[in-house]
Amino acid sequence: MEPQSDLQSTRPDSRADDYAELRRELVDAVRVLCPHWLASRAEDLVQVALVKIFELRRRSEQERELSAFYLKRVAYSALVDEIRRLERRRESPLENEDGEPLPLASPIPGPERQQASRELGEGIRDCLSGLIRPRKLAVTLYLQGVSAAEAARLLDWELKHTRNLVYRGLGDLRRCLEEKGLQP
Amino acid sequence: MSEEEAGDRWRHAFAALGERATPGPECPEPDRLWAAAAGESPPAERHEIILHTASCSSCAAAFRLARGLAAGEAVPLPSASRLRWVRWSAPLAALAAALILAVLAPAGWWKPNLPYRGGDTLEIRSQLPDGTVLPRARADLQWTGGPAGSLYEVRVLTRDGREIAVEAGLGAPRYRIPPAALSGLRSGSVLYWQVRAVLPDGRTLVSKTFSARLE
Repeated sequence: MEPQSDLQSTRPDSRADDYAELRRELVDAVRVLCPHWLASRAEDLVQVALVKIFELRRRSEQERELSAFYLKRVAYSALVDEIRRLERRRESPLENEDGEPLPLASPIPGPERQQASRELGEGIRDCLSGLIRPRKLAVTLYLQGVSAAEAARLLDWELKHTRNLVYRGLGDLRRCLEEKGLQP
Repeated sequence: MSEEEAGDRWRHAFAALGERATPGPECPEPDRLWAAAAGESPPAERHEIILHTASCSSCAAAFRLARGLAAGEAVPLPSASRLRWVRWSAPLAALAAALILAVLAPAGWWKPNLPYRGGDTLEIRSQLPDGTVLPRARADLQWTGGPAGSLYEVRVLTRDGREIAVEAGLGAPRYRIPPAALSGLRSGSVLYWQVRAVLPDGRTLVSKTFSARLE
């Protein structure tokens, strides 16, 4: 008994809608969540990721539908590969494919604030490396903007235990930053 | 400065390290970052990835990106006018369901604990324990079942998106990947699998993509 498809006539439109939606979501995510210097390249980065999806779709037998979640995952992998490629290139020549200098960090905060933020960030990273493993895990997720409930799920810990580790870990972090002469 | 303000300042400073980040050779593959951020990989693997992001600003940024993209992926039941996968005609589905149930219902396959997450939201979840390694001869996939009479289609893909197995019309929430389909894959290869359920009323439900490692 073969399944019947009645999507034949509507599939192209819904697929185009899916791609447009995915493209929008990816561009927004890059602009909001990636380093500032990538924001102006969001469209190009996302295009690279979408090309990967088109290739995957072309290889897919019998035009089978892939779930939006799977497509997003594929797009993400392509996106990160491309971001890493740019990050590596940026380290040495600091120019784009047209020979123009790549933009550095966003000028919005001002050079002094950028410097202070960078020192604090490097201090945080140093201090994190000295935390005991459970607190380091909990505080790292806190710094990544992950809620305690979500951190508990990701770490496979009880919520109360996770909150306790975040609390104690942040105390350690504060003391460490003070010892470095950084205003927490 | 309040604790909340200090926390915001720390998060900002930590994220800003990504402005000058450079990935290293030890950075995990993007797929592993995604699996960790989405909570799909085993806890020990997630811990390793999170610890790596503590010292690698490039991966920390990639982790945030994955979380942003993967968040809120509840799979709502699609409306009748917007089914994404193949839809069975209702009479055909009912007939198939009746036949399958008549033969198989006594075997007690059905799981009564349906994973409802909201008023109209149903989710198919993997029943494989975290870190499952699939033996080549018995590469069994299992997932939570839908309402009695649901039929399933399962698809198995490799990391590069190659489809190695597909089976439709399954009456039980499990599937054994044919050993022949795995013969060309290296040991340790990651397999991605996805299930589509056709519910008795004709609606379809697509799972997230799960992963498992091949023996």
